[in-house]
Amino acid sequence: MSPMHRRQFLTFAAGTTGAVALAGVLSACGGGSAGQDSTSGSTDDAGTTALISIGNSEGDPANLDTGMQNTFANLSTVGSACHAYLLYLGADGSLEGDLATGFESESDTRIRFDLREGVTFHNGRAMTAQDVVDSFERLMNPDGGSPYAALLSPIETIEVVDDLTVAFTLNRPYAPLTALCSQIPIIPIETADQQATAPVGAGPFQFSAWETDNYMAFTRFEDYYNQDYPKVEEIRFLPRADATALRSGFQAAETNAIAGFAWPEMEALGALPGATVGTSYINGFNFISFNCRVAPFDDVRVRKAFSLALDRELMAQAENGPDASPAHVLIAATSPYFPADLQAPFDPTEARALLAEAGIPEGFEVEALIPDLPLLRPLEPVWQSLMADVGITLTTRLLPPADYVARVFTNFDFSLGIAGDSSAPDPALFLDRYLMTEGANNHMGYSNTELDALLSEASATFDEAARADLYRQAMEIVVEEAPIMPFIQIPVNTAAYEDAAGFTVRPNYLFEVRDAGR
Amino acid sequence: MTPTDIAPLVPAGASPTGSPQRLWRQLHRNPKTLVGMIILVPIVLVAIFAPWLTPYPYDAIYVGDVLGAPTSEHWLGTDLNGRDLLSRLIIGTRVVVGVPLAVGLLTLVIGVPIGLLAGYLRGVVDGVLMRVVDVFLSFPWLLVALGLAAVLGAGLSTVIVTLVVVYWPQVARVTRNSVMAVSESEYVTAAAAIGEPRSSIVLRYVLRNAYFPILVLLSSMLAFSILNEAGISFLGFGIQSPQTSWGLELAAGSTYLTAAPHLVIFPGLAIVLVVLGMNMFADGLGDLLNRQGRER
Amino acid sequence: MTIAVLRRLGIGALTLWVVSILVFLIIHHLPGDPISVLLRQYATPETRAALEAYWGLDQPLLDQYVAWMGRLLQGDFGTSITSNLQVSDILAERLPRTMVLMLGGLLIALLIAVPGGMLAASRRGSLADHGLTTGSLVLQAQPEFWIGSLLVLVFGVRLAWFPTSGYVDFADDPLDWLAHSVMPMVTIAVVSAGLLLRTVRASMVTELQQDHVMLARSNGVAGWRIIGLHAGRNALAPTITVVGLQVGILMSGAVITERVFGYPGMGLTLVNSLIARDYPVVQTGILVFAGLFILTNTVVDIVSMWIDPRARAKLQGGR
Repeated sequence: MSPMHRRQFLTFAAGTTGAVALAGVLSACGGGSAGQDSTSGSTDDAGTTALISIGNSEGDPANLDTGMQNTFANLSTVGSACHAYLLYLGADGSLEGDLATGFESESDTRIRFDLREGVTFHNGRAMTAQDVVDSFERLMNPDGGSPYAALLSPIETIEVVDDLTVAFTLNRPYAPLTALCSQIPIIPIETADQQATAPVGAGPFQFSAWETDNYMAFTRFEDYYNQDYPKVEEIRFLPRADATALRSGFQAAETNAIAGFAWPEMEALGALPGATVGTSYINGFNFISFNCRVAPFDDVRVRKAFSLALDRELMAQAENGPDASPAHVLIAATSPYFPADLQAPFDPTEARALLAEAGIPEGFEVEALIPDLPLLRPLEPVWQSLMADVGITLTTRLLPPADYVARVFTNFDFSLGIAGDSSAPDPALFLDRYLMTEGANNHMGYSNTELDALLSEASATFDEAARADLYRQAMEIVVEEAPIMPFIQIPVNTAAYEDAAGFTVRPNYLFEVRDAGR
Repeated sequence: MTPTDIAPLVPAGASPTGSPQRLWRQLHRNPKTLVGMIILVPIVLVAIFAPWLTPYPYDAIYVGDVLGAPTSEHWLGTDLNGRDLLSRLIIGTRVVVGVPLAVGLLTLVIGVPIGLLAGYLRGVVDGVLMRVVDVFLSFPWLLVALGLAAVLGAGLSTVIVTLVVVYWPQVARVTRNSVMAVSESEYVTAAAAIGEPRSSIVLRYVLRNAYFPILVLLSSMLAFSILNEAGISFLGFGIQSPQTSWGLELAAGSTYLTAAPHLVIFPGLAIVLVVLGMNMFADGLGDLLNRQGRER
Repeated sequence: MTIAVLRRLGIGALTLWVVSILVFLIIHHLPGDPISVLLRQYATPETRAALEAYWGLDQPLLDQYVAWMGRLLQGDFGTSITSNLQVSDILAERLPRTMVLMLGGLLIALLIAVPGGMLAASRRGSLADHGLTTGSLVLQAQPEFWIGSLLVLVFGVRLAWFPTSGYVDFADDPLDWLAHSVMPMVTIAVVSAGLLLRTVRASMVTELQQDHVMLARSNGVAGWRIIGLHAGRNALAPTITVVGLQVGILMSGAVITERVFGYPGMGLTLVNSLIARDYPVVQTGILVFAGLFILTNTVVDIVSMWIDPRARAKLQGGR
């Protein structure tokens, strides 16, 4: 049981307000995949927190191996607490040293990483340069089923230069590699087979128990390379896919922090004593995409008309409240490559004209697919009403997210739909997958050789200004041809009590947990 | 909830032999059926005239404040898209009335003939049909709902199909039990003895005398079907926007329980009220049935 | 009697076998497949083919069914495609929790229904009778997730008497286990309680009018003895039948309740596995649920035979 629960229960039993969290005596509730008991054995000094629980709207991951399955549900939990990476992505989007202390581009196709000395894995073994090589190669294998395989394909070889140095040789210049390094978990390779159920890494917390649909527990890793972290003895993630369970757990102070609640709750949660609320915008988008293979969306005029009819500001506000700002391009506003002045125009009159020109009759009916996520539900009527304004009858169908992915991304069995995706913060990691003709996520079936050339050149360009210019040109094409229309950067609303201060969501959807607590 | 639990409450073969007028009179005199009708009749009327009764178009967004509390303009407040909740609940009455109606009709069309066959032919036919009924009954209804939603896609028609799949075995079983009880009675034996064809006996005596238990079952069943619809919609496999139902409103509102409790309280109360009305009606009918059974 | 029991058991087994075929066919014909869900947008034809071969999904359906049944009969429940956990481990962990939830709910329902129903029947037509009957109808009109949400709001958040969600093992902390279980159990109990109350009442009303009860009454046997012993015993059989049939509702109720309270039981697993098209978990899980339902009702029928000779006659007549 969690001490927070115990406190709550004591309040009930004794009728007094338990103000001090009890000691973090924990026993792994049996039956889970990990099983071994762990006791933090710590007692509370005044002002420190033994354990923090984080309610996670993403629910429970199916698989704890973040290298083989990178979902929000496992990145935010295992990815945040258990793993360390070559580079650390800060909440502000900056890349800092993590297991690597630094890197240097020896040429356009060769990068050298200097590794940190004295890093220990949770299984007690010291990290070597070979572990870095093995960790990358595990995910590079094209038959291995890792979602990173395609993104890592520019890597030709990784070699151990010496105990504390590895060098990546690339088959082409590849600018996004460093950003990607903030998301490839470095593991002791002998634990590869157990990563799915009992992950082992070099992160601030070590895995202690996973009871599916109940909680995932991690305890402080005493040999973490940075002795300032973590700040608490134990951290637990509670999967709370149900909005009521997520919110009421925080209101009842059973969780110290939650992520992913709906914006209207912001005010009430922020008013709780000691609670602060905020919104993190991650490096990803909610977007509308078209199946460009089938009529009428094979006609650029129709897509453009749908784009002109889309009031992105209204959509953004429907999703995350009056303060939300819209997105017009698939590059995050915090990115150095963000073309700030490029906007997709909203012009229903022009939209009607284009539809008429394309021969789309008034009252044309089309079915849009939407993944059934509570945060997307308010978008449905807004989008329907915007389309009705230009004479389009939009029927919508909500699908369980897994069904949505299978239909839209695997079978291309759709006309248009709303979806969301994110990446580590380099534009190439998102754009190349979605917009290149051969891109792994190009479910739109969109192909534009000029765009392909721009994107290829951009991912091989290291000069920031030159790269920004290439992405600007690419985004102009996307706005003009509208195979995909982002309308908001994915917002994640968070709330935390003082004992979990410092908890935020980083741009790659990993939680900031090592700094959480007092 | 399925009516798996209702069937045993319905005594087999007890039926009033009186005229419809007499039944009508009894419905008025029984306080439960009377209260039930007082609740249900206005709701049916609202459902019929729904489009003329809504103060605002039910799907017009931002006619009021987002998540607005009840005011004189929006009596029941507004939802996340600033739509008028009262208007949405008024339109939702169509699902509340329509789903049970469709489910009731279809279960009768499927369940009654099967029950008749089993009850009248008995033997192997009965054995086989009742095993089929057992098989259908052994699936938890919610999983049937999820499976069908996956195959047919979530929506109103899927909800109806689901509930028919779940409910027809009940109707079949009660019909069969009633038929068995009635066909043992003297007048059926007598009719068979004077050489009347079997089909004629079934239609003239058995069916006419077995209808009342089926009616009692049906009315309880319909009450549950409203709860079922709400449950399915809560899990996201039910009615889909832009259509709406009370269950969907309740499910959508539960996301914002603290910010906008009116979105949970009003649809919830509406559901409780109509289901209560139907339960009262069903229970009253059951009382009549029991009394008739004793009189005979 | 023995033959009737054996016959009833045989019918139960046959029903279960038919259910297994149906479940298998339905699950495998749902649109989508576990590999797509597993690989999401990163599926390539090669990885897909490799995984399908690994899980035997490339075999003809009949072979897959036979393989499943064969393993099942040897006690091998298979492995979850999404989590790689043994299905038997999942069942061993989850099923008892859901069973406890259902039994606890049933117990609470009976604690309301039996005394309530007896009281109502013994004072038929009184204010108490009308109050209890109407109350039971009101209980029966509550959607589970609405009751659950309101309980959380009032007793979890406002009063903070009980934790709002989560689960603790009994073995770790019995008191905390209870605190986590009360609200889900009450939620499940509400709907059943109304129906059971009226079942008890109706059976008691009938029994109280029976000759032997009338006789006992005229012989001056105390009122509670009549209600408890003479009528109560015979009124038990229909109540048990209804309890048996409640299992189906309790299961569906558990699915919704588990979601509202974040209670990691079998219902939640089944819904998630169904969405993930995790064939081994779904088909075995549903089969186990169906088996429990069939078993309960078989036992109920046999117990009724034993309690009540009339039911015995009915059963031997082919139910």
